[in-house]
Amino acid sequence: MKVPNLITMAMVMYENRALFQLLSWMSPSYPVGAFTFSQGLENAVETGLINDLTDTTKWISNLIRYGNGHADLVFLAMAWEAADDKEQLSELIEFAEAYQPTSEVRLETSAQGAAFLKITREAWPCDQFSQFDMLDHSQHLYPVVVGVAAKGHAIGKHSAMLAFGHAYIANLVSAAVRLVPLGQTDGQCIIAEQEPLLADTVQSAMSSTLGQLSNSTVMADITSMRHETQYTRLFRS
Amino acid sequence: MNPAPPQPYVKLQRSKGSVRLQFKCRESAGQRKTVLGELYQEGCSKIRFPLTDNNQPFEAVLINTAGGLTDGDEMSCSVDWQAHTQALVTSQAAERIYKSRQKPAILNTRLRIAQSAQACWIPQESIVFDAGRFRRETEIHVHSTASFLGVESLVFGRAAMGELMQEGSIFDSWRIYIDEKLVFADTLEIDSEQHGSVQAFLNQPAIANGASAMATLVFVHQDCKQYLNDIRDVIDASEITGGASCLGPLILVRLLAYNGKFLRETIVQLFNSIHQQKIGIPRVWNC
Repeated sequence: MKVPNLITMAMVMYENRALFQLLSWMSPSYPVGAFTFSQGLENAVETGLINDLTDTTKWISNLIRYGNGHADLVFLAMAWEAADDKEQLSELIEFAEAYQPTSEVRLETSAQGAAFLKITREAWPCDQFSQFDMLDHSQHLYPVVVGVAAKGHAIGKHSAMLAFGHAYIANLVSAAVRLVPLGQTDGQCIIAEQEPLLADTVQSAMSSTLGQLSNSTVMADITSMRHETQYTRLFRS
Repeated sequence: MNPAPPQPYVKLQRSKGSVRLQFKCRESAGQRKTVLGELYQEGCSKIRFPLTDNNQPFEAVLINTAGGLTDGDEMSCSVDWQAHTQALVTSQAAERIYKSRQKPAILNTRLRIAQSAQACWIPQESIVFDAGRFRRETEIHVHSTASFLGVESLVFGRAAMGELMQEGSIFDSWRIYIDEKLVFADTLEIDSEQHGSVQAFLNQPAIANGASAMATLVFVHQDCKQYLNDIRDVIDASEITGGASCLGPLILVRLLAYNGKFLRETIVQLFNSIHQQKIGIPRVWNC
């Protein structure tokens, strides 16, 4: 019958397009400057908290499940929900900005967010981007902008969160490969190993409210703070 | 032999305490003096006002006459620094969060600091015993011309007894508003039901790297950036691990220690540094 076929074709087209967009947006070649940020990992290596593959894996897992990784996924999910609601989005941005614990983490999220907005407005425009018109650059928080972009392009929340989470992990691994240093293949093994944890974290983040949001990566915050005065640095955070 | 039937959860008498405290400014002969405005005490919460040296600000000491907290206890504290007041609030002793059968102890703190007031909120540490559970929500409203120094410290288990914290939960949230705009939001959560053994969780490198004591210090001040280097110097010279970062109108300090004594020492040094050695830590900290 024709009708079910058309619907299926439309769905496949949507899914393919969503995949194409997410692959573009979350690729290391999307010029948001992700490669310049290590979220304090550079200081963790410098101070001997991360020495090898095992240490790196533990550190990254901690950040995804209990730290900024999880928080960013919550913000993305909520931004996706609030993309068409100016007031809700504005409240979310105020909270998300206040939730960033160090000046480098703030820089990392706002610099990437502002860059992502600038590029995506041109390459993949959508009406929802006008929500950011009245806001400073400091409020263009990366997960929030991505969440709005995903909703604006009818990309599923879950897919967007997985893609964002993947890019988060991949960028940390890329920093670790340069800093520890680690082999490239070892780096890919770390990424592969994080898959089930990311899947769990995305599930948990999808239903989290701001009141429930919590973190416990105190040492990671400290490394980000210490990074500000680290003598030799390759990274901006 | 038949197993004993499960014991019903018996509702025991719980501690409840509530305090409301207000500092007012009295002007006479062109001098401003901080005096007590409102004082309200209920249940097991008490406040006392020790005599202090001339240079020291007006001081209030919170006392929990129940001697500690356990499941289902509820404490609330509200402090109001009116315009131009200068006052310090601390606690008589470390709070003890005892083993809980089921529910957390609940603490609510509301602080309001009006224009040009200088406020310190420096309770002594909370020691969480193995299987202790507590949930604390602290909300602070500061006027942009005021200054606020706040510290909360946590010690997990009792080192002197060789007790590590295995079970239990901590939910510790801060919200700071400057001129009613949210500028800082933070929630620490550790829960043995989600994270497994608390000390094992704290041993993870990005969590606490094995520390069994931690503290958060917040300093709100229009020119707080000027204090950052000195704060960092104190931390670097100390025996503990920590960092400080400037988040606009406030500085956030995070500290981790393997020893509660070193943590206290560093907090005292930070207090002294921020006050440029002009005022000292309350005497009750040395008891």
